[in-house]
Amino acid sequence: MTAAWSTSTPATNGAAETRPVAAGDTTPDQARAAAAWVGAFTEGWANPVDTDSFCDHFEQWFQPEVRMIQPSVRPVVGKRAFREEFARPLFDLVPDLHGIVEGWAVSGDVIYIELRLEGTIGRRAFTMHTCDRITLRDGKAIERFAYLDAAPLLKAVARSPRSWPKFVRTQLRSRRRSA
Amino acid sequence: MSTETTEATRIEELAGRYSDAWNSQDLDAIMNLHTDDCVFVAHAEGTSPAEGSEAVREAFAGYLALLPDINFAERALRIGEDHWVAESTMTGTLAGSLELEGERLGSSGTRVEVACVDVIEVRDGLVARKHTYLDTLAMQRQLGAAR
Repeated sequence: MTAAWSTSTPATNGAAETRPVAAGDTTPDQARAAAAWVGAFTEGWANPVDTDSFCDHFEQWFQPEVRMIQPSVRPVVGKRAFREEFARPLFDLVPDLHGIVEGWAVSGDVIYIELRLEGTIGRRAFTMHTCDRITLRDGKAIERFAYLDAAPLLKAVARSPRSWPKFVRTQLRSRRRSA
Repeated sequence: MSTETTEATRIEELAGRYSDAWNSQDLDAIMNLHTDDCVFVAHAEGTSPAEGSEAVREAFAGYLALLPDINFAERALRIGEDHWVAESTMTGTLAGSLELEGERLGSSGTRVEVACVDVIEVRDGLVARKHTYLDTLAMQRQLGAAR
């Protein structure tokens, strides 16, 4: 199948959106799995309540050995690391962080998702965009690679001195992991 | 050959020509592959979306002036029925220092290398929308280190 780039997000009730099916490198099963995964991703980022509910939602869509790769920080491997080393420091720093899916497409077991992230650090609102490449295995993510420009977040941190202690703790935690 | 396979083949060919045009740093050849109402968005700090072929040409000309030997080494190419996604490593040599928010970074001869992904939507056989996502922090580190 060669899928269209979709700017509509799949239903978030777990039902797969009906998508055009064609010959090629994506089977109908892969297309359905991708639509369901993007639906869950959309729902998970829409309005996270707190770190644990965010992680509880996402972990069911991850393989146990999920690997998350993004700029400037070491890869995070596994669900526990996702919760404690990725999500908790992130929501500690940006409690109102949320995301809007702007487009996505599937090719075989790979999904590309364009996501707009919005949040506030101190009183500084920021927006940043990412294109995530998600690799699925049996309908669950085995890898997430983020093409992300984190400069807007860092700029908001720089302009919000009250956020510096939290940011420093985040950086120290990351360095301890990599030591 | 099915209609969709034919369309995928056309898009793959377009992606190849587009990549060749960029790697030849040929602005006219690049722009010949765009629709008149094309949109280019570089998701990078300090940039604004360019809308319409004139604005897009101006934006691309800026990149080519800054990095005259700009090159995209493709790492993955995925074709859809109305788009392609290309993951690549962008390299180039700075022609002069780059001014970013009042700060001058890098200098002539500085090499940059950064991972990026292009999401490119196609209409009527031409590029209608190009969204480029890249790690500008990595680029700034390379430029900052070269000051």
